[in-house]
Amino acid sequence: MKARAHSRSEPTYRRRLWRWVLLLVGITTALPFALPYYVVLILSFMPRSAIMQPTLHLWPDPWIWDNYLRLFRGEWVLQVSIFRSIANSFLLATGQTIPMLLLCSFLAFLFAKWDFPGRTLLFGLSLATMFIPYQATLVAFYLLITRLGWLNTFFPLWVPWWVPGFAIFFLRQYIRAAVPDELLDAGLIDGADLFRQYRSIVLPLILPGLVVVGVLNFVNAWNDYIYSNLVFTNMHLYPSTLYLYSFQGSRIAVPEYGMMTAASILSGLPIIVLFLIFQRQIISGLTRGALR
Amino acid sequence: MQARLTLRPRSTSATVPVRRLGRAGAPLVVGGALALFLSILLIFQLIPLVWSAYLSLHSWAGVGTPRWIGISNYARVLSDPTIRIAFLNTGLFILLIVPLLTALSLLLALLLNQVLLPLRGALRVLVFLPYITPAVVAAIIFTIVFNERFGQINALLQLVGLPAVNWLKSATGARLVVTFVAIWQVLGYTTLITLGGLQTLPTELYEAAMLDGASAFQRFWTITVPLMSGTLAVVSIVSLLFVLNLFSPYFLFPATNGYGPERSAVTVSVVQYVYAFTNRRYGDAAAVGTLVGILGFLIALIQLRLWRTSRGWS
Repeated sequence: MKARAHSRSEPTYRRRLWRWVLLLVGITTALPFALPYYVVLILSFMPRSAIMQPTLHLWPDPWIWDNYLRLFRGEWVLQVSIFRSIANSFLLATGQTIPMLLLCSFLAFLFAKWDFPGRTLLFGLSLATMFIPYQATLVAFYLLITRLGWLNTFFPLWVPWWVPGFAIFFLRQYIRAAVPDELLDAGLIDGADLFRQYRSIVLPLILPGLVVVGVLNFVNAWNDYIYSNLVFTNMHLYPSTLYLYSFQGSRIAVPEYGMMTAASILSGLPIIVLFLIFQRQIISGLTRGALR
Repeated sequence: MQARLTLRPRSTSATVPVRRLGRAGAPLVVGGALALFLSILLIFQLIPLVWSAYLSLHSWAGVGTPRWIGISNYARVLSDPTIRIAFLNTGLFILLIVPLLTALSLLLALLLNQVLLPLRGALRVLVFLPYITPAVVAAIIFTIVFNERFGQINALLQLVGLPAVNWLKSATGARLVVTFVAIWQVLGYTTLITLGGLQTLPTELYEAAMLDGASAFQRFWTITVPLMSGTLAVVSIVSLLFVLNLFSPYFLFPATNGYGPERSAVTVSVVQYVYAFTNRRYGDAAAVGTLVGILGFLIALIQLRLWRTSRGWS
């Protein structure tokens, strides 16, 4: 606001000064966010002995690829290549997110545009689940998946997460705003049944909303440790968070700092890239307060 | 389908949709979706919720028949020194992190709202990055950066002539690291919420205040802060829930099961996890979970109320 007023009524030199001040403040603000990523990136190209020198590291010296190569070959107590864990994370997050998007958008369509007995109750139930903290169900959730024989399978990280309250709520609001009733009514007259309306009218119109919900859910699934750690004891099924924790939690005297940093880069990269691709939609979606 | 469909008023803002599901076709798809929805809620939400509450009132070690012991688990849990410390630590982290996060969110949002800020979009993306970075990765980054012997923070301190700090192996240092990492991880998210609030403020008020000769500071205190109080309340509740779920000490202090030096960093989420899945003390863990659950539920209800009122005026 301040700035807008400046831009109209104040002389240009004050405006230019203000820009320099902002640039300075902006850089200072950016440092604590950017530097940790920079440090971990340069350390990932350094041998452990150099990392453990108590000096400031500005650039990898000496530069080696060994940390990455050893991760690719799985030269670690797990004896599994890091690519395997990243593939597992993809499987985990995709199997959770894609069915979630299809199911929740269809349910949101029903809740937004159709009337049926129990509609309010079901929607209220879905909202209520948002208010149950995970700690209240965690212990029994573990016992339940044990009874179901779901340990060391992906089902416990897929099926229970297909109907999150936030997604149904968000998509319902989105459909109300983005899908005009006239379009649906026209479709009905043409004899399109409800599912064809969903497929050919609703889905294309809510694609931007699906992207926001989908990416955020994918990121959450990718970053899960609490539930994955309960489910997987077989190292070949470890998603990348468990793979990383095998370094962090190992009790060896001198940790493999080089491999740890390289593994952090490799397993964080896919979701950071995914986020950067869709950052415009996600930032504006969150800022507009659509998701909370 | 029905005649009344075509007779409907054109206003699309009607809260109750008029299309009836009965004759809309695709009964299998509709029935299947609703059935799947209900079964997942029932099996993976309701049953674990009730089962956990049941376990918290029984003595059970994983095998055999659970034995009813009433509130004994709760009594034991509340007198257990580690769990007490966990609740105290969580309270301390709430006192440290929530006000800091709320204040920093407002400052950062004010900066990111300046149209003249160079690279504004890039900075918004950058401050949000830690929020999507896996907690394990953040922990690995900061255990290395804060290492007392070769960490870059201590290297920097010594470069400017300050003494090295024993960050991860002293109680105070550990608490500071947990606070810093928590703020680093979630500030981008709370800032975006605050930014959303800032963008709904009416610009006319600021223009009028400028005509009256109000300084930037006066405008901030008399317009921005009061009008943002609703949004800031939402931000502090979001932060509160985040701290209640704080799990990062588990990754930062792996050698002590996430307890930290002298149990200085253990939180309720960590102690519940360790009790349940390292020590197999299901009854105790369920009791902790139910307590945290009630607390979190109450906070979330307040959040809902605040969120409704804060949206009411805008």
